[in-house]
Amino acid sequence: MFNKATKKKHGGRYVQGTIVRKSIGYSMLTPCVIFMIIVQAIPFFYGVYVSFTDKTLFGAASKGTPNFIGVTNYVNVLANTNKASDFYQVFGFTLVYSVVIIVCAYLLGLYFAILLNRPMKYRNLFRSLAFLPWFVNPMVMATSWSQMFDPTVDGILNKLFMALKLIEEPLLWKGDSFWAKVCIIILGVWKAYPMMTVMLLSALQGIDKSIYEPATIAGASEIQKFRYITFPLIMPMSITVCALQFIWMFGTNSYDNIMTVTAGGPGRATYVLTIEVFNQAFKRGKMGFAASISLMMLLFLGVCALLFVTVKKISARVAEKKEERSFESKFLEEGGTEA
Amino acid sequence: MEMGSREMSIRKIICLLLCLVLLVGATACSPGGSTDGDSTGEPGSASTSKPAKGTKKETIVFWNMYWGNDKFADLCQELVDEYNDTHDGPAVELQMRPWATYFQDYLTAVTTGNAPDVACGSGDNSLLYGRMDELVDLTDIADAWKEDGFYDTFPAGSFELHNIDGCQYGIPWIIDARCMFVNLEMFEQAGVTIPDRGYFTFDELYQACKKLKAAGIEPMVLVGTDFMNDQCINYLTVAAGGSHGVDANIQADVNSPRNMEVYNWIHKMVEEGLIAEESLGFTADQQIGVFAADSCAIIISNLERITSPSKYGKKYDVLPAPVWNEGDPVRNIAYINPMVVFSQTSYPEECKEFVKWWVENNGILFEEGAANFSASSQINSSDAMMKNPRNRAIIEKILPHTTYYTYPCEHLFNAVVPLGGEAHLGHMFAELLENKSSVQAIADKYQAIVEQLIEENPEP
Repeated sequence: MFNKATKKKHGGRYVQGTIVRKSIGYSMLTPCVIFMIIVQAIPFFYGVYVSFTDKTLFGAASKGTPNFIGVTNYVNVLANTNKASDFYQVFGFTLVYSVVIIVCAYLLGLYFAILLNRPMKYRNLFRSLAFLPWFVNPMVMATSWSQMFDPTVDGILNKLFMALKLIEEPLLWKGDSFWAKVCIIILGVWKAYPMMTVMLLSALQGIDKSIYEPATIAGASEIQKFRYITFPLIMPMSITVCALQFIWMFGTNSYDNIMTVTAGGPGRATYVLTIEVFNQAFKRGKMGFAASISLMMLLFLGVCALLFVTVKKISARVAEKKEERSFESKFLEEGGTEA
Repeated sequence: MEMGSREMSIRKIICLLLCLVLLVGATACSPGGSTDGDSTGEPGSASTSKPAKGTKKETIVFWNMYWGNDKFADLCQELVDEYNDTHDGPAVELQMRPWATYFQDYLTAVTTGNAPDVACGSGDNSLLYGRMDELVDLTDIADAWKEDGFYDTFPAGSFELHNIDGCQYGIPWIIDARCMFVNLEMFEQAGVTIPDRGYFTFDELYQACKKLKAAGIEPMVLVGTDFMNDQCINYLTVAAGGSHGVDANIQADVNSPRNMEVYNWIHKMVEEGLIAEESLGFTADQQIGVFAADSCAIIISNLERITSPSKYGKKYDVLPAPVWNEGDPVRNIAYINPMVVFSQTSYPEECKEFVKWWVENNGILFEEGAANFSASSQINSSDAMMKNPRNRAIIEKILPHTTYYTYPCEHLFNAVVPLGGEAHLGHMFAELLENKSSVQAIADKYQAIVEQLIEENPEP
């Protein structure tokens, strides 16, 4: 840290000041780092350790040090040895659940963001209303939706749809495997779209309006402007927000919604990996097995995050090249000559 | 420059203050504060020294669950206050716990060394924590009651159910039975009569549901979504003389001949629309709501759900479980839940004294708190209990026929914890209600699951 050559070159006082400033910065970070180590790092490494053991919560075997069993838990997960639930089926549903929510929430969020970006009366009020689901307590939200998904004639949604003549008989909602999946996806979209709206709105607001002038003069339609100007410019933010939501939906955000509305049922129709981890750990007592599933989820999400970053870099490069080409063609139009 | 050095000093001070706050916060979160005996649920490894007897800070922490109506918690507190006023020694501190997260609450408390001293919880607490060596042997209490005859007022086998490896880890105190509630007005409307023996056979029940359906009445609503789904199928299979998936030798018998007959009966009921198709999506509360709104004629639920005494015998009635063949014994499954004393307590003898007193004197919880029924028939036969039409109906019709939910296995076994915790047979019931696969395929699938569970959780 203390570079004698630097001190000679720049003068001792300058270097000393830098060191002092850095020390203050580091020491201000220290409480947070200690907190993160205690709350996140230690549990994480303990979970990694447990995943390589046969730790159980029940019975006499729960006492004492668990036995190290190497990668047996991971092998058992991949070999699908648990007869109670098919790991690949649960993984597949979790993936489909997350992707469908992201797509629907993105489209809904984009729609609201475009609407809220337009000048209108009481725009701030409408913005607040659009963001409202974000502020509602997740359990309150899930419980309310659970009531709305009542499969009887008296259920709010059934009453509404029947009054609008959209259906003749009440939908079973949670009482059917397919509709139960629809229920939790609707709830997931409801939960995810406000963040999409916020992020996409900020991206839209960052676009300089003057970019649209040449397109307007050339007679481009609104859809063409959106397709060739707006969408490419909000692509980096789109990728970022989709990546974040995917990680959240695939990971922890699915648990509270699904447990409240369907509890993974009917049967195991709406089982996702987070519920599987919880059941294995606390209802079956197989902590090691549960920890191994958690780590595999983490690895998968890590790969997905890398993928998103790569896609973002590629799309940024493509956008740059498009910009260069359009500048070049504009330059030539104005009578410039090729280099 | 002077300003710069002053700024540096201020920053250093702020930094030191922040570090101090963190240290203070970390210290405050430590369990060291309980060593003065503020709570006797202190970690067994650390604070084993007892506070001086008779000091104000001696306490026995008692966890109780919400068993009855909205008066139940207050009645428990009154009872605890009465005990504290009439007994020397540590004062009992009541803490009511919700059912929603009871499993995690207990497990976390015990495994982190913060178990309560005394607790009432689920029926398998005695097994789960007994096998973890976390419970005190309460044989003294059973022996004392054998001498004075109070032991004989409990259902046969109820003490044996909570006797794990020769230790009496649980003292039965409450019966939480499952039974069939019927709407008598709807029965009358459809021309359904209850047989003279007072209960149906499965075939008679099927015929009664057909009559109800023909009269435009939803015959039966069951529960497919929450914990009650497991108990619905448990009720039906045991009532028919089958099992809840495990035989008397702790072997999987999900697809035993009698169980298969019951599953096929359920399938027939579903096919003919005699069990409401919405059942699959119902929670226990929604099921009760439907019944209370007069939208169906028959439900299977727990005793505490329908508590209005005035309606018994007029609008509602409770029936014993159906039997498979006429002449078969009636079997109403019941969860005979225990009181346990955790070995982390500093006052084991005092806790035993409290448990004994609580079970002998808690009649008011059942008389006014609608908390199911006492495990002791002596308490149930009090005048206050019998003058309530609801209580009388249940005491006379249901309690004489209760059998443990693990029937035919007389003891709790290790696999019962994950079997019930993950509600595997409840999922099986949901698949039967959904009716998208063959009954045999469903039964075979869950046979394999229960076999695996038993293999993973062998008996010692």
